Amino acid sequence: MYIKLTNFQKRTAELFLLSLNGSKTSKRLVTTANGQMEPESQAIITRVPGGWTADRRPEQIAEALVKSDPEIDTQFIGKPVRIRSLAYLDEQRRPVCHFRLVEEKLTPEGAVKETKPYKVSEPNIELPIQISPKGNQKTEDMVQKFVLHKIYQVVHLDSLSFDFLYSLCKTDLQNVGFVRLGCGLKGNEPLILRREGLPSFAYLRGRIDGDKYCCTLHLTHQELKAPTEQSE
Amino acid sequence: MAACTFNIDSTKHVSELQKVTRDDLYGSRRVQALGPDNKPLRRAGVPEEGNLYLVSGDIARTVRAGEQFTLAPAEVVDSATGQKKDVVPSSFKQAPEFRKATAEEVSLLEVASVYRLPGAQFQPGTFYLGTFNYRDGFERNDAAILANGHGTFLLVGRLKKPGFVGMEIDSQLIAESAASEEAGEATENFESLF
Repeated sequence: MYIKLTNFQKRTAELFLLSLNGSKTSKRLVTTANGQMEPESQAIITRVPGGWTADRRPEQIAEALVKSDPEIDTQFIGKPVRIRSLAYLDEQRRPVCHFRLVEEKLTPEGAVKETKPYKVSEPNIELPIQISPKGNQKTEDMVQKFVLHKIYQVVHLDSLSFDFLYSLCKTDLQNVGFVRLGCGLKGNEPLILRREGLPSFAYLRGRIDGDKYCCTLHLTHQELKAPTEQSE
Repeated sequence: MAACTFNIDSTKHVSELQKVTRDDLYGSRRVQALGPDNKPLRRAGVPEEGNLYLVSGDIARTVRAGEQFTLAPAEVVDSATGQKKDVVPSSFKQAPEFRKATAEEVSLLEVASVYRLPGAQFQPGTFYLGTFNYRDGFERNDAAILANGHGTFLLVGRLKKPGFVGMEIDSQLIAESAASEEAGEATENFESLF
């Protein structure tokens, strides 16, 4: 993922976020007549769509079961399917063309607090990400205050961005701890990396070793604290 | 929730685990489709033939090996060596070991789950690293125990090991990473920040 980062001197460089997820160390194998192979998950239809009991009275259901096996429809049951698109159905299972999406905000207790039209969160990394002079955290404070749910390594793309990152790590980040980043025109918005992604607070950390640097981006969207106790 | 024993710096500590999620702290969000009469609508999947509307419960997942379905038990092997992998037992069965660590080390833990440990009392500013597996599995999860003003917490996830980078970076790293992102790792989460 490419980002643009602006430093304190208002210089901007294009950089790359490297995911630090390692490749999987294990795989599943099943033994078949043709030897061992990796199994694949396959979706199949398990019941007559809509249910065969729909719109039937209990006595009609009993009668149908005595006469035949209406729950076993060989046209559908066990048929492999691949879902290609999404539809919304009304109570009669008819597709509805005119619908609106609303977003409900719920309290931790599950009560609806707010309802508003749903708006997809768009990534905000098209504009340069700015280093904020406020909100820096010492490492001890950072790990005690926030849950770091994602870590990326920030790497350069060319010699100019190498110079940019190396000097950033050397002069602005080394021995500082975690430096807050901000997005948007004013540089005060949380970071959204992907469409429909969760906005996160972003912090940058950097160190140098000789002529090498290590710059990491740490994302958090949760404080490290316990939920408030419910009073009875 | 069941109590778990932790060996922390060669001392046994027993505590229950209380899972803490974002929803517990800030509440959650859900997206709903409403019809013209403001009644909630049901989400359905349309298969490629386009002749069916499949709702939750109409579909199940099975296992296919090649062209055939199979009920044969799967064996988990090491991707590199092909050797059978041993099961990592649940930490409830085998007490996990934790050692004293620095905040620097803990800051490289990419956290997937957070648990509060009401039975463990540590001074804020003490950090421990170890492993924790809630269930039996084949991959060992890294974990940290730390305390702050809100209590003692167990953080479970994966420790990341970012390396130092020189001018000559392996461009293949970037190409692979970009390709895996395009393959789709989209997080379908509609919640917003606290």
